[in-house]
Amino acid sequence: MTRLRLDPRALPRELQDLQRRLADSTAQLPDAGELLLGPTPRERLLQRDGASLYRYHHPRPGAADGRAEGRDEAGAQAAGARLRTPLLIVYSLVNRPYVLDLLPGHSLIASLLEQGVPVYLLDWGRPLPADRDLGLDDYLLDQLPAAVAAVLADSGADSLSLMGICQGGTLALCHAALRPQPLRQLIVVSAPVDCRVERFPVARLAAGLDTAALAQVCAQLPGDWLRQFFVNLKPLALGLKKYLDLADLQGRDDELRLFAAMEHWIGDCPNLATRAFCEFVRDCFQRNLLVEGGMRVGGQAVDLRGIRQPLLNLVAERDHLVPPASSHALRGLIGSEDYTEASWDVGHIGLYVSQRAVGEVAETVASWLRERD
Amino acid sequence: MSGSGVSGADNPGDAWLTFLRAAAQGLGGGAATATDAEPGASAAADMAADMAAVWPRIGDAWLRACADLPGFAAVADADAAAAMPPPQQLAAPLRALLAELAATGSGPRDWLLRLAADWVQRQLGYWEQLARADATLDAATAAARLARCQAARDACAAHYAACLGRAAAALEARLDSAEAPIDSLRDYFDLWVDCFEREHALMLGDADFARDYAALLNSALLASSPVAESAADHDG
Repeated sequence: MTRLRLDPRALPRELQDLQRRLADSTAQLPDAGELLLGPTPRERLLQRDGASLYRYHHPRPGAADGRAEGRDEAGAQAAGARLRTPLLIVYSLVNRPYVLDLLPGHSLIASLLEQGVPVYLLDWGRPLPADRDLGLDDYLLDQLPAAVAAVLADSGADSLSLMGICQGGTLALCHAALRPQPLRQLIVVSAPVDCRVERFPVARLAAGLDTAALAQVCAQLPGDWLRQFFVNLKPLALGLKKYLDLADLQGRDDELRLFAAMEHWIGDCPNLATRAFCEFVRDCFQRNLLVEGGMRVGGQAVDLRGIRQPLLNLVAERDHLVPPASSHALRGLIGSEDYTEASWDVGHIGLYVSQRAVGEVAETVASWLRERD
Repeated sequence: MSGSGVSGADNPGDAWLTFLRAAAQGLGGGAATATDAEPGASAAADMAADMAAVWPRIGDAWLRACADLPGFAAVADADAAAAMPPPQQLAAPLRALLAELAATGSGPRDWLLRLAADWVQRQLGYWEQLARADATLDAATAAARLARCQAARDACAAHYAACLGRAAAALEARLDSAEAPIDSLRDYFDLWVDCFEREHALMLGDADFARDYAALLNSALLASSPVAESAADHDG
């Protein structure tokens, strides 16, 4: 017996109320120009083939707009001693890394700085059509080593920690296997590792992509295609319900700002260099070489057993893009005996956007790094 | 030294929000006025035809549900505008929908199915329209590529139709077993989305669907290429 009990007489009021709240919420949405995306001060240290290396600075305590200049000692002193070993973050080639420093209160980078972690970010940039031949070897054997060298030179340290997020986690693993020195510690976040696990729709759908044909006909993979692909993974929830749920955000300024910032970020999907995209799809999603062995970058073997640094694996347990099982598979694949996992009951982006999770993640990372600094 | 300050130029997410705000004005919400110069407004105007689909669909969802409920039609006929004043440009199509639903007498579940079917068709259509994007190809090559894309699209549409059927059955089961009565349209809609997404997630894990979806992407990406002929034109 159905429990549907819709009362026709009550529906006009419900509709009217919904309509009013939807209209008010959307009218209250801030414009992208008002959002102060990427609020944490930073300096560009290096620019190379479209990629940029940044050093971040903790804003002075009490800075009203989050943009005041100043080195990070003040904030670090509040949270504890500043770590000696710098942390270099690499993000996915898909989407832009400013999601890690999205808004005040929603910034993993700012939270890490508050914990005393010296933070650097390698931004892969936006490939141009002329960059169609950029491959994984260019990213892993040229751009990333150049960034590592620049971080060491800038910080005066003789080693660094590497944090890879999402696809950046997979790239970080490859880099650590290829260039173990001078990496001191390795952290991966929501990283796809085993692409044969159950309920991994991205890997499943990518399995049939004709990468040879794509490499032949496409100068770049347009970012809009990728955006469409990701929306299609949850078409009603992401295409309809999300906007209807705006009605519930009426008057909740922080959440409206976050909604607008996330819409901006989701829409800001850069084109991808075709060769690198095809190599990643072929070697990771289609052949699962990272797990099953035989992956090569620039002619060099990528063997995860060669990773002997301490490794922290952070997992989002409600991740619909990278299923937790894929990330958990890393246990047992690396050579290091110092392996730690931590997980949160959030979705893929939640680990570095959710206000609650961001603080906890930063604290976990800083604590883990501090024990090994 | 500065923050990363991100430009919103040509960002579809920003244009989308600009459109939403404009729609909100049409719905009578907020304090913005029609003369406010919105950054990115021209981009929003360019995309309006595409984006406008969302508001009507949300509106469709509610109005179709209301119109199909016993006894509601009389209320809706009299007070449709008061219950849900739509943007001016959407009023006529929404009223037409109400009339259509009154004539067919289909139930709420049917229109929820239609709503979802329309939406996934739209998603599939995104890939198909790529196949029409390049006008520089010779006619025979373009036609062959388009045909391949449409065949793949049809195969995917069949998967989605089956998925919708399973989702509808799941919705009925959930309604039967609900601990508390579902007495709000919003809860009803959310329940439907949950049922659909669960079935959709299962479909994404299905090898046959993955094969057909990959064929759609392959054919769409190939068809959108200006390359006159490639090995891919001759592969299955």
